[in-house]
Amino acid sequence: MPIAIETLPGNITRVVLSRRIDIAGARDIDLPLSVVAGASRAVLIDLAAVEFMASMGLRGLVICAKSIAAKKGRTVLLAPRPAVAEVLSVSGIDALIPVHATEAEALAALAAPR
Amino acid sequence: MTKAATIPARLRIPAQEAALDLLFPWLAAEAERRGVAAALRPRLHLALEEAVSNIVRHGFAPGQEGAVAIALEDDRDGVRLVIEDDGARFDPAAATPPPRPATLAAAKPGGAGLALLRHACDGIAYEIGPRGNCLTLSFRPRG
Repeated sequence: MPIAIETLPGNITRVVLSRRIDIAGARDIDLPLSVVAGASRAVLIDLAAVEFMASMGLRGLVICAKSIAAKKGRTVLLAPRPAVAEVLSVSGIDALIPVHATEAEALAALAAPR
Repeated sequence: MTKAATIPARLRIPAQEAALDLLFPWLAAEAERRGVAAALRPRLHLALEEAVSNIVRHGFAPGQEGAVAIALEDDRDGVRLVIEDDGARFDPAAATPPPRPATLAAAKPGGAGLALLRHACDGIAYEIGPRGNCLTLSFRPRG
């Protein structure tokens, strides 16, 4: 599965995606992401190991982030590779879900007071 | 039978979500067989996924049977993907991509396909051919 989930201190859920989040990959991550969205209010989605992402993969990220935002939670994205960063930029998703280059920045963003 | 002979030069899939899983393995094998530059392959994959998933999701009424045929061909200074389908007429070169969402609440999941398709290709040509829609996506090395 191109997804692994762990809980970090401070009730932060870390979701590590990997490989290809294409149509088949999106199908694999959709259910686990919806479980995370239902259970968590601070979610770090680590994209460093994702080689490829298309709109069906973005769809899962957007649904998850929308659901978390609706309950006043936060989602951040971490360290996309250049090809994935380009997809986030062209789709405008990087303006809606903050993207951070380092884990320290991502964790600080999740912990920051509102 | 050689390995190359097992890769169909032209992939034909039913217009169903489950069949979209066949796109990447076919493209990877066909790009390898043709020696397509590694730098071009992610853009080919992105464009193929966005174009064909759009056809499968929007080109046919629920329950309507249909098919999509895909070929990878050499172009003057790159390659092109030729995608034919017998669904509703749709010209992605003429369609206006939806505006980028201003807020997460306004974001429509899956709304970025057309923008990504255009970004991935260097040219999009559409015509109505003998099988219906005929889309030619061209790719050239960049930078």
